[in-house]
Amino acid sequence: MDATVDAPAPPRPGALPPDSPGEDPHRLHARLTARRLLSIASAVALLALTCLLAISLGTNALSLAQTAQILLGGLLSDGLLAEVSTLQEKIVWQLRLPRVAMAVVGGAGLAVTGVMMQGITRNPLVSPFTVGLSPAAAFGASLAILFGAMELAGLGKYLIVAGAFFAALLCAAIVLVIAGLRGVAATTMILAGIGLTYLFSAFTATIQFIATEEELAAIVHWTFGTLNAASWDEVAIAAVLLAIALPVFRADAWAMNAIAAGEETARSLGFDLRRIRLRTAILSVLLTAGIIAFTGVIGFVGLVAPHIARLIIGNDHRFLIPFAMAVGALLLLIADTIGRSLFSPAVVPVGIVVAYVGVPLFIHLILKQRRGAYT
Amino acid sequence: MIEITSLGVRFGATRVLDGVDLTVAAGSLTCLLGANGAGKSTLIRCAARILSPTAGSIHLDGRPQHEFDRREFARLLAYVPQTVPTDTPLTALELVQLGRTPHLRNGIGARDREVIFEVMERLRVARYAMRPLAELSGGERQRVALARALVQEPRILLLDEPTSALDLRHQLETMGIVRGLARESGLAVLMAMHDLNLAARFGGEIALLADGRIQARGAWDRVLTPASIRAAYGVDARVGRVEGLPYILPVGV
Repeated sequence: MDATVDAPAPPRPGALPPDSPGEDPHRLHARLTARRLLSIASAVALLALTCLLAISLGTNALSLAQTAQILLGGLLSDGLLAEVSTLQEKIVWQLRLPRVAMAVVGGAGLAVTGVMMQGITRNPLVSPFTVGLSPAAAFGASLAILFGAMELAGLGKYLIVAGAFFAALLCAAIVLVIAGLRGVAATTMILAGIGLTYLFSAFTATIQFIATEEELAAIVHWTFGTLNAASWDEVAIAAVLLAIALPVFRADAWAMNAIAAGEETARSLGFDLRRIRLRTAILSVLLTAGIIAFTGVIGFVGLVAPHIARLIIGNDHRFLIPFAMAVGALLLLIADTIGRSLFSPAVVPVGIVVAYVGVPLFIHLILKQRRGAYT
Repeated sequence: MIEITSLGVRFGATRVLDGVDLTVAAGSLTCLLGANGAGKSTLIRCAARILSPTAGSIHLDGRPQHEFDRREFARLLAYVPQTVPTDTPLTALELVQLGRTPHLRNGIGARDREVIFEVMERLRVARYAMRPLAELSGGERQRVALARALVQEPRILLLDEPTSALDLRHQLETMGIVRGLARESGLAVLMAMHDLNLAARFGGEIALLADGRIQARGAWDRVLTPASIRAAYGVDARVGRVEGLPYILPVGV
């Protein structure tokens, strides 16, 4: 049984039918706010439930009650990981939980950077990957693999991570400098990003030609995007990056709404667009690079989760940001759980499954969509 | 109050504005007229700090324009650009709500909601509150954009062709509301427009812009003469009054 398939039951769309003229503004406001907060609460509750399910599922399946018991037991005892004794406790705390946590942090992080990048560029096709992050990260990882990262037992993994991370940052820096010269305009950024995407893809292809068969397999596998290797320290690094970026993103929620109203209107309302765009782009790139360096390329979440969220809850970024994060986390978690359950014990990488799960949902919502949002 | 002194703007080698002097007193509505490309929008965008002039100065309520910090500036002055984007997912209410951001400390409060509601009712856009802007007609969108500027509760209002998409009735209503704000609340309003009849009827003062300079300034019947219209627009026009109201009738080019 795969109980996660039917998980994201979207609340009703945020947009209301044409109103009754003269509705009391305070009641209207309360109604709108309550509806949106309810959507967010439902998504978070659904996420918590899905986490529990994801932890219980696997080759060594546990009941939900057992899972909850082990989780609570681990939290309540002082020693945490040190005190786990049974095999099941080890499975939960050292294998499944870090994997689930990485899916949640990674999905939420990619989704929020997607929201922000789409926000500052007023362009629905943009995500952090528009600036060429994923091919650059793949190039960095490939380079590390080519230079023998796989033969260094403990260190090798981190070499690949570092290679991916810094190559991604390098590429993003080039794109942002080019775009920054013209005020971080969407078109410049997209064009520069496309250019560098081809360049870094060519680099990676070159490496694949030189690589041995074993290295080639590792490179290809890296590019699929997987949570197989998730460990607590990786989760911690990604979570810290998210914790740094998120307060800045939340504080810029009004600015994102204003940018949607047009460049000049936003500026006339007192928003320093140059600064807001620059800090959003830098934090988004750092966070995205910090996630995909560990997981490989799972970029689709960053593009599609913001749209799914927008179609459900509307475009007010004060609500859109938390909601999109929950959607992104759910999407990645459900995809990963399906990926490791479907052909168990074989694991289909999450980067692949997330498209299977996300695209049908996305298309369904597009077909249901009212006219308006970025058409 | 807006005081513009010897304002000059160049885009590369092109001189768009040259030695423009213009004062808009508190409580007055000035209509800025001129042919396409005369520099109306450029002048307004300079006053709104969207463009930096290459020469001259702009004082707002007696202080140099650049001395205000961004939020302070947005509480003093509201600007409505010529076009409201249609490729936006915002609803009408979400756009109007944005007008309160320069005043916000901890989110939208009860008074903010009252201001928003009151303005939306007055401009008759409360009915569209929940509709996406992209679904509204051009005129409806224009009134929503004006509502956004009014909830800023500014002392200075800059409008770039705010009536270009309005039907007859809404033209009269909107101009009446804006003139009322100037007279009763003491706003200084500078409005670029193409409709000479509306300008003559509602504008306390008319400024006629041509070739980057103010060619004439003052009451409509002094500024809008057949000769000045011929010079500014290249059009022969009859000017007169019917039932005490001014009319400008273009006869031919």
